[in-house]
Amino acid sequence: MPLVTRRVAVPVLSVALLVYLASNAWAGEPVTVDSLVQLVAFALPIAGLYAISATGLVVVYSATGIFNVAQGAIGMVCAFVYWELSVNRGLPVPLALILVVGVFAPLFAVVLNRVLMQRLRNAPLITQLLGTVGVMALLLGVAALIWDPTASYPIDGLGGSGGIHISGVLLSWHRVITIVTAVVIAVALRFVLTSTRLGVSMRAVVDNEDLASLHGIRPQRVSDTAWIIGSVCAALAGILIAPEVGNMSAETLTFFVINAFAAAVFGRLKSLPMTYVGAVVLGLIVSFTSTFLDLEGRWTPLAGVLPALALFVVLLVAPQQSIRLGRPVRRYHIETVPTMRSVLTGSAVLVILSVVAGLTFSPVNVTRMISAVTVGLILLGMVPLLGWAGMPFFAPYALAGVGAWVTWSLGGSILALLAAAAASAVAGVVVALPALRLRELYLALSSIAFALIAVSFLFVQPEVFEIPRQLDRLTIAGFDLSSGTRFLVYACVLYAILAVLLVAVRRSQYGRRIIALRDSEAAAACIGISAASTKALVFALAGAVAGIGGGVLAQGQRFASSEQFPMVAGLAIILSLTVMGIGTVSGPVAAGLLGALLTALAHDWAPGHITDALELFGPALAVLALSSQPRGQIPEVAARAREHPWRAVATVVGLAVTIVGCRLMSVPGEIGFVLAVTGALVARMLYDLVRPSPAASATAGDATDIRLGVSRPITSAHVREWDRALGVPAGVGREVVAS
Amino acid sequence: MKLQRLLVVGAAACLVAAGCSSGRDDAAVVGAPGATASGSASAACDSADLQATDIGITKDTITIETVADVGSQAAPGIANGSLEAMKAWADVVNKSGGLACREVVIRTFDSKLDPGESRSGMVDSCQNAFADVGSFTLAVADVTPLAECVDGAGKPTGQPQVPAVSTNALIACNKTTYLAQGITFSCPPSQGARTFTVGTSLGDYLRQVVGGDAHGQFQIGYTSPSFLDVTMPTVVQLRAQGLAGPVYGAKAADPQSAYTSVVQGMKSSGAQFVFANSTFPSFVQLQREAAAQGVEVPHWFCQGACYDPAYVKAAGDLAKGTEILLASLPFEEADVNEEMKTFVDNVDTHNTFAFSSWVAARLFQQAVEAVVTKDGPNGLTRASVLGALEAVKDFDAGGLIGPNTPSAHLPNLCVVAVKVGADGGFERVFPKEAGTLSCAGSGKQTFDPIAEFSR
Repeated sequence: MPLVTRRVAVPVLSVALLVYLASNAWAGEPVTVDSLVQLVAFALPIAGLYAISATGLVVVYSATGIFNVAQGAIGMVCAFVYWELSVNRGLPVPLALILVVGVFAPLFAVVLNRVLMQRLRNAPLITQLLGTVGVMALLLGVAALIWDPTASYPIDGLGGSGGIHISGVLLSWHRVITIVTAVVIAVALRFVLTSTRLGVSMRAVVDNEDLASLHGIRPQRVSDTAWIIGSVCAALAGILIAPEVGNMSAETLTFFVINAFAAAVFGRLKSLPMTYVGAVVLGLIVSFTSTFLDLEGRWTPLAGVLPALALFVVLLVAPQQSIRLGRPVRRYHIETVPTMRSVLTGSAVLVILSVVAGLTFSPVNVTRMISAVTVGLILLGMVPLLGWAGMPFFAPYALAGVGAWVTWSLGGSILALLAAAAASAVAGVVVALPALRLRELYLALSSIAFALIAVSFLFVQPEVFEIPRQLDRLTIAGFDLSSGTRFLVYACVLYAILAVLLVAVRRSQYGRRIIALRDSEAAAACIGISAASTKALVFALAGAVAGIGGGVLAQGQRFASSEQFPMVAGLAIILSLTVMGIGTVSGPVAAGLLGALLTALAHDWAPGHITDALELFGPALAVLALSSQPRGQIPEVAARAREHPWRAVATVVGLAVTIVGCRLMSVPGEIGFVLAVTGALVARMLYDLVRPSPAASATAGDATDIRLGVSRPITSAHVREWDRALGVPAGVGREVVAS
Repeated sequence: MKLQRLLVVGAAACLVAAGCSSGRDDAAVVGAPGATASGSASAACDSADLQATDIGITKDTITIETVADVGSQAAPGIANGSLEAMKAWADVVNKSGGLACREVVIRTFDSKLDPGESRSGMVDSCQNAFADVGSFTLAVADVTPLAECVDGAGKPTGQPQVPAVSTNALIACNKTTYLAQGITFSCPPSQGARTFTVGTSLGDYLRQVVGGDAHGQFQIGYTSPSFLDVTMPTVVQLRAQGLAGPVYGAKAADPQSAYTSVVQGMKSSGAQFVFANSTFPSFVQLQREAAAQGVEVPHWFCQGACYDPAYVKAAGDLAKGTEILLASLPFEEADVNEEMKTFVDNVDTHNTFAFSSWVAARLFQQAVEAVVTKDGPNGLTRASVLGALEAVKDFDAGGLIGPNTPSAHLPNLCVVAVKVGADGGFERVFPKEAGTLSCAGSGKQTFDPIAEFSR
């Protein structure tokens, strides 16, 4: 479809839909000059909040290349600090504002950038986005620790009582300040970004950091400045939003920014005036709906997803990012394609372990294992999509929900599962239609919008999950699978079958086409690979597998509801997958099992401060892990184990011996946990002492160490490090044989 | 979003005031003060040769499991009150000689606001405890681990579950689940137009306060169909009793400015009251916006969720004069109700979580004592307790709540109104007599909650 036609068709269709909706849902309010003026008066404060949130997003993105999903969380922390100072400690409001906006927010930004965000700068888009999701989770956890979520945090608006009367509506001083602040920020930052050396430096660093350095620009300083501006915007947004919510809640303040995504995209993530215009349009739509429309019946939830719908429409209309040319297509090592033998072996091991676990674990831990494998099944669908095709799609639960619904509706049998796979594949293709032209960040944002719409609107339709109903026990040819052990084995067998099938796809010509498309869409097109059909097929494949995962979830729980598929939880499991191994078929089940392990540790084996701290700082550790291994830990661990197999064995033996010893001596759980980790490390050190080798001592630490090649031989790990630093993929025939 | 939504579910599930009734005709005020019978400590225990009669029962102990959301990062300690209340109840019972001649042991499980862990809690309970009592899990969705739990003899009798609250219809309607304070779902779960039996006490009281044929504004929390099932019957009944007005569905993510149009509507219609069945932050937003716009509403009514010092703190001066509608005696009336005194003296945390778990524990205790009275302390099995729970009629937890028959699967019909005083405390306003609840009248309304909802 030609660009002009598409850019006209989508808005026209959207407006037509709005007119249809308005005519059917009109509340009967008369449209007068007064009511229109009131509409604008209602809209501007909301627009102001969206604009300030979106401005921070745009500034950070345009200066660092990172779309900061944690923007709302930063604002939330600043809002709570402001409450702490102005309400709890009784400081004067102006002083509290200066301390938060002028001191805390900038310092916080610098620390955040230097410790975490900087590591994501050159990471792939998926890693960047999920890294910011990890930061968001970390900040939510820290806030919950400091400020009790069940307590009350009253906070007054700025400017005191009173305000300006407009057509019978009072615009409070707080809202006037919000509107003015949004305009001032937009104007001021536009000036900074376009007319000052700092602004030019910011854009130069994003375009080409090395070249910018050669011109005397300090990337570190520019990066810090960008994050400071973003953090200050977030702080202002948080402080201005806080009095507008009934009781300050970390979740509400954090996720408010999602509503502002549409405004940011409207400005193409670079134009602040257009961002503001987008915010105003969004505010008008929201206000129009609440003022003039009477949404009833199945349309009731529509009001809550308007920002997500707006985001979807804007993404479809906005000019897309161009295909990148003239730079390394990949800056990370890609995992090797597994052989069928290895995947069959791994699958057999998984099934055998599931039998052992089912027979030896407690019923509670078997239940946790089932949840883990179910999550793994859903995530397995994301491997071809995110891991191989490199398409940032963050709505696994939306696809799984379709599968769960079909399975549940058809009674939960094996045949129902097959129907679920088919239906989810179709859903995947439908979702692929906008994805055919959306790319990278826009595709990621559209998937988030889709996840929100699915959970908040589609899944709550009366025809979907709304009659609570229990499924019958699952049987295959009369064999009852509903017991914990049997269902666990069943789930693992399904996982194994799907993993083998996916690896077969990966090893096929189609799999190579997917990788080619991911590496360079332009080059792939040049050799005749159809991007549209390849993408559509991979979405269908992802949908089918994720749909089976959703169906197994429904079968296992014998129940399905819309609340099993929340958007935020979908982001969290994608984060886990990326940490473990986004391109491997073992990554999904490892991600699920990691969650089960942490739960079992926190609940049964080692409850206490250490596991609480692990839960709290886990997201931060995930960000650090992602920054060093953007493809996940499993490929790296597997590579090291292949290089030094006995070292790996020693580590595992050390871990196992310590665990068994602690159990036999009834060592308390937390201490046992620490001892187990220590035991593994000690075993590794002992092995290195007993069997030192140049390869073992030459780690992939600092590849620029001049002693490399002089006193220590160069290893494959060093070569990989250099590949990373130079931004080129690992080449064929460059493997170094250690002497 | 998740926590807000789940808190609305919890609040809605707890809000059994006066929307529906069990079909009584009399307008009698019930709830005379009294004490619930304590654990039996008779000579029969000394002479009994106690046996391990089922899972979770030994000759010395009876193990009860309480699953509660205490360790969630999103809301740490949210249901701590439930655990505290269960342990306090166990202490009280044990000091009086125990239950069925055995010491009560409370086994806890942290469900972390997670459906998976909530299910794990049920699995753990089935394996290790005699019954699941006082649980407060907002995220649970599946009840089969309890419904199909086998007993000590290997029969799938199911495990007795007396939770503090029910968060979905499948749990509320489960054959082995008994809710002490009634349920707000229709059993079996269904869709479309159906008949709800609803009480008239609330409407009678509101008419008394506001005046006949009044016009106002209704606010409910969240607008998914399952929430509308819980909240719309009350609204429909109030409308049928002459209290008219549109309904606004509050969303947790709405900023206060989203309420401007609602308040303008209230202003133009001359709203005489606001009736809210939502979380208190949403109610505070509406109150604040009305104050900001200079709209004076004579009467503000809020159901149960506002009976919380956190609401008074959040709303500040705006809370004063707000009337809060409860389905149980206020905590302030410990001096006129012995059971309330026992609760207040033994449980430090006075909130919905603790109270609901305490009442659930008392229901369970009553059922066990009925079994012991009939069959002796060795007659205690899951099946016998399930039978006893099924037979319980007009349970009122020593006057703490209105009489309720758990097996009837009907909401509690009673109401007590308190008002936020000038000092920020809660003062009883209806019925006038302390220690009583108003339980009267019923009606039937046939409608589709989804279709009936309009903003």
